[in-house]
Amino acid sequence: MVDEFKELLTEQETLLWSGYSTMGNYLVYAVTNRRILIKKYLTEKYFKVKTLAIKEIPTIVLIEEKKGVGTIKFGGSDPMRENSLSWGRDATVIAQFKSILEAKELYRKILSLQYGSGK
Amino acid sequence: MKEYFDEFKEELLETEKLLWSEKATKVVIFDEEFFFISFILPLLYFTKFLENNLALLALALLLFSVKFYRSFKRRENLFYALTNLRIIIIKKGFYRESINIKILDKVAIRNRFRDRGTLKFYEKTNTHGDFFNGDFGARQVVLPKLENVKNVEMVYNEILKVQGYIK
Repeated sequence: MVDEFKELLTEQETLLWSGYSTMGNYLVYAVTNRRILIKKYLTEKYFKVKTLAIKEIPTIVLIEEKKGVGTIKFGGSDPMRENSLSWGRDATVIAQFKSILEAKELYRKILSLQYGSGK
Repeated sequence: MKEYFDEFKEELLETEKLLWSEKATKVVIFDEEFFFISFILPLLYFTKFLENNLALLALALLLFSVKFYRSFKRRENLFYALTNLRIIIIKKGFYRESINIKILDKVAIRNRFRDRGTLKFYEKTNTHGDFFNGDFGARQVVLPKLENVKNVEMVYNEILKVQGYIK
């Protein structure tokens, strides 16, 4: 999946991981040594990209599902937090890698990058 | 302070040290439940002036029970920790959360009662929109909180040390 993100990387950036949601909803994810990237395809040719600087992300949440699949959420409150009388979706998640394989390993990798011990 | 080390052993990074840990209390009165009780009690009081008020009373009690149960379950098997790098929240079997305290703007103690209190965190900027879900505007990012922490001032000071504000 390197080609998916080749044009989006800066000179000092190295692609460390890329993958997609197992739910198959036209989302492709990547982690570089500096950022996380989310590419959402609107059609075959047109897409949107969202990026976050890893060191600026305030919170990272790992929700473990079955068979190594999990969701990583960036920014905002914990996933089970009730919002007083609000029953709607969590409005404070900035971005997420939804239902990806080997989520736990990727979560640790991102943390290592955030706190300086990663490559 | 480090009595729940086993819960966090797997989560710690290579250069990370556990400074403090605690298991969350299941019942927290001086928090959202307090405000909910403040809403329900007047409602229960005024139902006595209505005829055939059993349905309303039952509804009020049901809402209160659901709310209380959800809060109770939310805090079950919930553990907090402070390391030399960050704050970690783990809910066993469900999720783990990492808070980057060094980039936060403010830490505050709320809902104090004796030596306990809730630690709340505030981000520097609040201009994130949920782009992919059609929301292009700014939205306040709500950060997690550590509820009803024992020796809250000590923990607060430890956080300030990690942030570099005090030695």
